[in-house]
Amino acid sequence: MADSTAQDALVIGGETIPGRLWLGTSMYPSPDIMGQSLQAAGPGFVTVSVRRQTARQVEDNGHWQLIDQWLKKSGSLLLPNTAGCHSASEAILMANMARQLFTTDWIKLEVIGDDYSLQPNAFELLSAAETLVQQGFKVLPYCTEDLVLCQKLLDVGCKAVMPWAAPIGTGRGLQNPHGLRMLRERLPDAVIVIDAGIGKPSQAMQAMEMGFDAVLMNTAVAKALDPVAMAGAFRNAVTGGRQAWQAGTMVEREQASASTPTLGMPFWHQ
Amino acid sequence: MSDSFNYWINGEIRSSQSPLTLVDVLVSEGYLDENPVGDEQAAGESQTQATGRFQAQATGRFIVALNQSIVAAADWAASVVKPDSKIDVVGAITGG
Repeated sequence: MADSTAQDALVIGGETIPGRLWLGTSMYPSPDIMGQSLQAAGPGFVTVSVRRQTARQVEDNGHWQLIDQWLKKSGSLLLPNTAGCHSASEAILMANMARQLFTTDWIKLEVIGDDYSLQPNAFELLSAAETLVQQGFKVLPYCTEDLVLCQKLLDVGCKAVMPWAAPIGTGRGLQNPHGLRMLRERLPDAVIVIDAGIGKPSQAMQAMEMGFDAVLMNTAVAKALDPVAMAGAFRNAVTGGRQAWQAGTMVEREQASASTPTLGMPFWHQ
Repeated sequence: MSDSFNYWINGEIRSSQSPLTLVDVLVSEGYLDENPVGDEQAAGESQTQATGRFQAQATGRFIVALNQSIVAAADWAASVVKPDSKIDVVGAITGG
């Protein structure tokens, strides 16, 4: 867990997040591979959720037991989500369930507005965010790259905003780089995390090179042929992208510009 | 005329002929051990001790909502399951 150095710490809501790659825990081939992937990724946050369970499922919850053990030894933070909620009231209830179950105030707030695209419902999202902030939650809302929505979410007290790159699970990468770039430029002091739609390490690196603070993903790692190796690749990409952002990338040019000096070139204008 | 009534747990219907509390339901569904310490000790167990025991069994494993309101473990014994009550028992799952 060394991706968030003291000089470049990611601080959200007064808490230092120990990594700029955040990782979901769903869809891995096995609990063991999930655990190895967590180890390889070194995530700042690990996302989980709550669902109805029978007594047997509560008893034999191997995935959760492994995640719980990982959290205790790694320093990664737990980020419960409200996935599957379609209204503010549902999301508020689920967030409170998660807080009681996991004893954390962090919540990844999801309120879905369209089942086909899994696009957030901006109105219900904002309403839920305002209530949850008032209830003492540290709210990280999953949203679109809409500048006004992101500003409103920050205004009601969200600690960060998490716009999508592309619809959840598509792996299509940054579908609206212009809008995301403008969001970054217009909200320079906000913590902005790219959440959902990242499919390749290069896309995560692109987001980080654009100056976003972290990247959250799940499917791209879990559904890779080798999830553990892919987790490591994403970790490297996020680190590299962050370093590139800090280093300052060159300004693009329309025309070629020779890198080797022409001065002293033999036969030049002879 | 029967006094039986229906209630729901995690979306599945159940029927009872006698009044129930949440503790009764959670024990019958297997979430709580009614008597993990043995008959003799359980017989002398106070309400406070029982509540503490149930709380310990649930902490970090599951929580309970009755009609979409979360019920703390300390209140389970006093929470009456009325006809058509809807009980949700939720635990941790993986998520993205």
